[in-house]
Amino acid sequence: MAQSRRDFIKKAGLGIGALTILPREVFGKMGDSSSKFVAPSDQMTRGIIGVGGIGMSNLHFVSDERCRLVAVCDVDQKHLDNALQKGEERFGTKLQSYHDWRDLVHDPNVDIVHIATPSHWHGLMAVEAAKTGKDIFCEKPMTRTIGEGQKVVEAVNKYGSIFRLDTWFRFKDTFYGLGTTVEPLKKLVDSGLLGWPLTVRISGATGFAWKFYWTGRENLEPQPVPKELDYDMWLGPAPVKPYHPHRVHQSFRGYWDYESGGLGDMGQHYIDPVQYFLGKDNDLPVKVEVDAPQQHPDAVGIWRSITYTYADGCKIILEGEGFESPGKVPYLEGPNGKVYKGFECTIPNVMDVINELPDPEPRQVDFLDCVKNRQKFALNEENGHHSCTIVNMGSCALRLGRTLHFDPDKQLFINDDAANLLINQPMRAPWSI
Amino acid sequence: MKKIYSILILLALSVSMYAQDARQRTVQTIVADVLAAMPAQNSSDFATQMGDLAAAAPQSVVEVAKLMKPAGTGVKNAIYEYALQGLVSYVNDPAHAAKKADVLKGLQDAAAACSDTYNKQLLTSLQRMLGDYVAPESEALMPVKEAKSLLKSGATHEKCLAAWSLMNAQPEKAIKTVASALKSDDKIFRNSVIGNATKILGASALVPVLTGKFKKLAPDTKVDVLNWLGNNKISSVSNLVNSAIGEGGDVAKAAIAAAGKIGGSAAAKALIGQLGGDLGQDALTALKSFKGDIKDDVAAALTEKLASGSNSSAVKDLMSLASARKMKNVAPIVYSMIGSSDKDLSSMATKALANFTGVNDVAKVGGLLDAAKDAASVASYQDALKAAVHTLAPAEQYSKISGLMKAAKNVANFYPVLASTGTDEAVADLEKAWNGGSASALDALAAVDNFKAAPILLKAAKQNSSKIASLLPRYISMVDQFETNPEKKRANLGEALGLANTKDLKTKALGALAGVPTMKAFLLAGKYLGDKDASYAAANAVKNIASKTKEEINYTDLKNYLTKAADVFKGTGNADDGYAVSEIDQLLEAAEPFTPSQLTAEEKKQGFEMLFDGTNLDKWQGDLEGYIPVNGTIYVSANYGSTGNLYTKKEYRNFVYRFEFCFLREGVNNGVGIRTPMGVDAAYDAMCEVQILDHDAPMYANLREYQVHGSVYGVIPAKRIKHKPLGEWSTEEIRVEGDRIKVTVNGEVIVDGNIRTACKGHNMAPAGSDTNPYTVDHRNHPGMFNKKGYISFCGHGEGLKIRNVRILDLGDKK
Repeated sequence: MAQSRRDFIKKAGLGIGALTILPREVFGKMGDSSSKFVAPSDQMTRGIIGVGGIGMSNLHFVSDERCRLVAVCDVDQKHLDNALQKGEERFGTKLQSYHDWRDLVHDPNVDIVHIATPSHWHGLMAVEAAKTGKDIFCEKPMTRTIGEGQKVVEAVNKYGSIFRLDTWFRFKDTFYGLGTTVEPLKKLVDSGLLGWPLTVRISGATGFAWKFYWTGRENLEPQPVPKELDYDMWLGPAPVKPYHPHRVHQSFRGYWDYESGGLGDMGQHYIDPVQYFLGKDNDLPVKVEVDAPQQHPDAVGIWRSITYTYADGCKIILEGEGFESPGKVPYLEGPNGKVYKGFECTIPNVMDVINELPDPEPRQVDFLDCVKNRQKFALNEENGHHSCTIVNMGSCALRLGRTLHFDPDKQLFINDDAANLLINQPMRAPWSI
Repeated sequence: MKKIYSILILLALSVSMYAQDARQRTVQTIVADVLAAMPAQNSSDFATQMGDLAAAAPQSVVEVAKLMKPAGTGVKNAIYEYALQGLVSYVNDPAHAAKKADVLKGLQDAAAACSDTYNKQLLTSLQRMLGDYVAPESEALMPVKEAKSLLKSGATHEKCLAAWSLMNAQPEKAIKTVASALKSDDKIFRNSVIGNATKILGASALVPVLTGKFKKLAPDTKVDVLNWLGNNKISSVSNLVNSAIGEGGDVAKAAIAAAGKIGGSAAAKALIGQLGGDLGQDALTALKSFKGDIKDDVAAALTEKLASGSNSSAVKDLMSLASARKMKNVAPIVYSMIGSSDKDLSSMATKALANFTGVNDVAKVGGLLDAAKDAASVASYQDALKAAVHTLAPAEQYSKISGLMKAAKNVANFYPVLASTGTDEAVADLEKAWNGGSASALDALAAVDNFKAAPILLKAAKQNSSKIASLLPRYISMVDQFETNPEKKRANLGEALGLANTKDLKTKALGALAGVPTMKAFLLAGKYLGDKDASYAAANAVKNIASKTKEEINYTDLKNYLTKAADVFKGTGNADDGYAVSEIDQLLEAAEPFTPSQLTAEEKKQGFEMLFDGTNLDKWQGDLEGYIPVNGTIYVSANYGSTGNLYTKKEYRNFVYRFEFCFLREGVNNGVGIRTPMGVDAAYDAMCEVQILDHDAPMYANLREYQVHGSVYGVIPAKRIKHKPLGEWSTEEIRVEGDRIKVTVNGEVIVDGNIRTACKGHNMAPAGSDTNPYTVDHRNHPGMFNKKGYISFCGHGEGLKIRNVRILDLGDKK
C-alpha cells in the first residue's frame, strides 16, 4: 500500500499495468461488433472481500446473468471454506478464493469489488480498488474516519470508478420502525409546509433501535488466536491488541479501533435518508453535542443523546436506547407541523397536498446500470461520505466527551487539535492510505 | 470520606476543588478518589474528577499508569484506562489546555517506565492525542509530461488519473482535455473527464464544449452529454435536449430523462408527446417528477387523444400521469370515459376515479355506486366516494353517505363507505343491518375505525367460529388501539385469548397484552407459557409486563413465570433473546423479596434497638438523597465530591453498633463516624472514623496499615482481613466504651485499642503545630476526646450496601 505514485506509474510502465486492463472492455469488444464501443459488457463480475455475516447474506451472496460472483476473500479460513462450498452448491461454480484482499482487487477477472469487511478496512480497500480501475460496492458505514472518507472520494474521482455505498433507505423501503418510505417525507419537506428549520429525532420512540448490545467489553483477557484466523491480517491498519473472540466477527463493532458500536452499525442507515430529505447531501452539521457516560479508550460504550446542528438551525437528534424522550415524539418537526411514526402528520389532509406535488427527481438506483452507463449511483462516494461523516463526527465527540464545532467546507473541527487528530488517524505499518 | 494518605508522598498540592473538603489531599488520595468513581456517568462528574487528576499531573498520570498490569486472567485495567483517556480528553478541551503539558509529561514518564507492550501502546497513543493536528500532505500532481504520455498509453483508469492530473495542473487547458475525451470511445474515461472537469471549472464553463458539436458526437457520447445536462440542470440548451428526443434509441431515453430534470414548458409538451410511444414509460417517469404545473397540458392531450381515438396506450399513460399527480381538472374527462361504450376505456376510468373526486362529486359517484353491478366497479366507486368525502368532518361524511343510502336501491354497496366515516351512527346502522342478516355489514364493521364496533365483532366471532379468523385480529387491534383502561383491556384480551385458536391469533393477543402493565395481565400471559404455539409471545409479554408494571406481583408467581420465560428465550438460540434472558435475571434480582431485619432474642434481651431494618430511614438524618432504602438495604449512591454523610437522629456516648455490609464494586470507600458532630470530617473532628474500604482492590495495594478496613483512621491500625467476594455480606460490630474501641468483622476482632493510649494522650500536637508526632498519621485529631456525638456513614461514590443496623446504647456506663 505504501507504494508511491511514482512506483505505481513505473510499474504500470513495466507492464504490470497490463494486468489491469479491464476484462469488461475485452468482453465488450467481443460482444457486439455493430457499435464501436460496446457497453462495459452485458455481464459483469464481482468479488466479495469478507464472507462473514453480511458478505454471505442472501442479499449479497448471489450470482446471476447480469453480474456473476467470481471471487471471494477472507482472512478466516472457515469463512472462506464455507463460501466456497456454498458457491459450489448455489451457483455450481468454483469461486476463486483469496486470503489477501489485494489479490482479489488485482484479479483481472473481477470488475466490481464488494467490500464487506469491518469498517476499519473500508477506506483502504476502496482506494486500492479505485487505483486498480475497479468499481466498488461498499457496505456501510463507508469509512471509520472522516479522513479515510475523503481519500475514497478523491480516489474514486481520480480513477473514474463508480462507487455505491450499501444502505438504501434514501431510495427504497420503509425504514425500520418509522413505517414510511422517505419519499413522502421528501415531498413534504420540499413543499415547505412544515416551515424551517427542521428537527429530526432518531430514537426508539420514533421507531429506530441503536443496538446498544454492540458495546465493547473492558478488561478482556487475552485468548489464543484460532488457527483458522489470520489475526494480523484481520487487524490490518488497526493497532495490535491481544486477541479475544469478542474483538472480531460481528462483535468487533464494540471497539473504537474497528467501528463505533450501534452508532457506527446503524447510524448511516438512519442518517443518510435524513441528509437526502433535508436536501443537505452536500452539507454537514456545524456542531455536535453529546450526552454520554465517559467512554473507554478501547471498548465503545452507550450514550444518552447525540445532537447535530446545521448552520441553518436544522437538527438531527439521536436518542440512545433507554434514554428516549417520553410520550409521543415526532420524527420530524418544523415550526408549522410535526410528523410522527407511520407518517402521521399534524397538518390536516397533508397527503392531499403531497399527492399533487411532483415526485422527487428520479435517481439512479440500479448499480449495474450505473456501472454500465457511468452514472453516479443514488448513494455514492460523495453523499455517502457526507452521511458517514455525520456518524464519525458523533464518534469523535463521544470519544472526547464534549461538544465539537465543525467546518463543513474544510471538513475539520474548529480550534480542536484533538478532535482533528481523530479525523486522520495513523494506520499501523505497513498500511497507509 | 476518602482519606487514603501516604506519608511516602508528602507533596502537598493545593487542591481546593471541594468547598467541603478543605484538607489538602495527596496525589495518591486524588488518584484513588477518582479511580473509585470511574467511569464518570455525566459531564459534570467528569469535569470535577478530571479537574482533580489534571491538577495533580504529571504525578497523577504516573500513579494511575503504575497501577496497570499486563492484560491477563483477572486483570482489570479498565478504570485506569478510563482515567487516562478521560484526562487526555479533558486537557484537550481548549478550556483546560493549561494542564496539557503536565499530562503529556506524565504520559511520557509513564511510558518510559512501562514494560508491557500493550499498556505502553496505550500511553503512546494517548500522547499522540495531545499533539498538534497537522493536515496530511496532499499528493503532488503528476508532472504534465508524464501525464500526457500516460494519457496516450495507459489503461482506462490510468488515463482517468492522467487527465485528472493534467486538468488540475492546468485548469485553463481543461476544456481541451474534455474536447478530446469527447472523441474517445472509452465511456469510462469520457465520463470521468467530464465529471472531474465539472468539479474544476464549474458546469456552466463546460456547456459550450459539450454541446457545440453535439450533432457530430457518437450516439453513446450524446447519451453522456445528455445525462450531464440533466444532472446539472442546464436550461440554456433545452432546445437541444428536446430535439434529441427525436433521435430515438438510447439518445432519446437520455434526452427524456434530461428534459424531465431541466423542466420548462417546451420540455413538458415534448415529453407529453412521447406518452403512448416506445419511450412512453421513460416520459411518464420524467413527467411524474416534472417540476411545474402541467395539468392543463395533460388535460388537453387527453382530450385530443380521446377525440382521435387512435392511441389507447397514450390515453393509458396520460391517465396514469393524471392519477399519480391527482389532477382534479381531468375529472370531467374521466366521467365521460366512464360513460364510454369502449369497455376498456370505461373500466380504466372507473378504476382511476378515486384520484379525481372531491366533495362536489358526492351525488354523482353515489349514483354510480348504487347502479354498479360487478365487484370491481363497486370497489372502485366505493374508493371514489370515500375520497370524495374524506376532507369533511366525520359527522358531515355520515350525513352525506346516509343521505345517499336513503335513496339507494343497493344500500349494501355503501356499507364500506359508511364504515369509513368512523362515526357512532355508522356503527349503529351497520349493526342493525347485520342483525337484519347482512353479512357485508359485518365485513364493513370490521373495517370501521371506531371502538364501538369491537364488542359487535367479538359477539359475531363467538356466535360463529368460522368468523374468528377474520374478525378476531381486528378486535385485538381495536382493543390495543382504543382501550385505555388497563383492567378492561386485560379483560378484553382475555376474551380474545379464549377464542384464539391459531398461533397467529394467540401471538397477536399476547403481543397486545404485553402492553398492559398490570399484575392480572402478568398472570394471564403467564398461563400461556406452556402453550407451544404461544410460549414465545407469552414469554415476551411476562417480561415486558414485569419490567413496566408498578403493581406488586406476588414473588412466587413472578419467579415462576419469569423463570419459565427465560427458558423459552434460552431455547431460541437467538442473540437478541440472550438480552431478554439477562433482562429477566435483573428483574428477578431486583424483585427478590426481603423480610425486615429483626433483633435476635439475645439482642432483645440485652436491649438493642433496630436503627435500620430495611424498610425506612426514619431514625436517620443527613444525606437522604445519597442513601436510599432499596430492597431492604441502604444503597449508597452519593455523588463524587458531595458531602454524602448519613447520621443517626440520636447522639450516643457508649454503645455497641452492629451492621452488615457488602461491596458491589471494587474499591468501595466509606466509613463509620463515631461520636461525630454534624457536617465535619469525622476522621479528625469526631472521636474517630472506623474505615470501610474494599482494600483488596488493586488500586489500594500500597495502603498504610492504619488505612485498611476497620482501622481507627489514622490512629489505630487494624488487622488486614481478606474481604468476601463482591456481592456477599459481611457482619461488623463496633464497640465503643470510654476511650476504648473494638472492631469485629465476621466474628474476628481486628481492632481492640484505646485511642488515648494510642496517641499517648496527645490528640493535638504540642505548641499548635500541624504535625502531630504522637498519632501514626502525624495529624491532629481535635475531636478525638469527644464525649458524645452522632454515629454516621461517611462516604461518597456508589457501590456500598448496608443492612440490619442496630445499636445497644450503653449510655454513660464506664
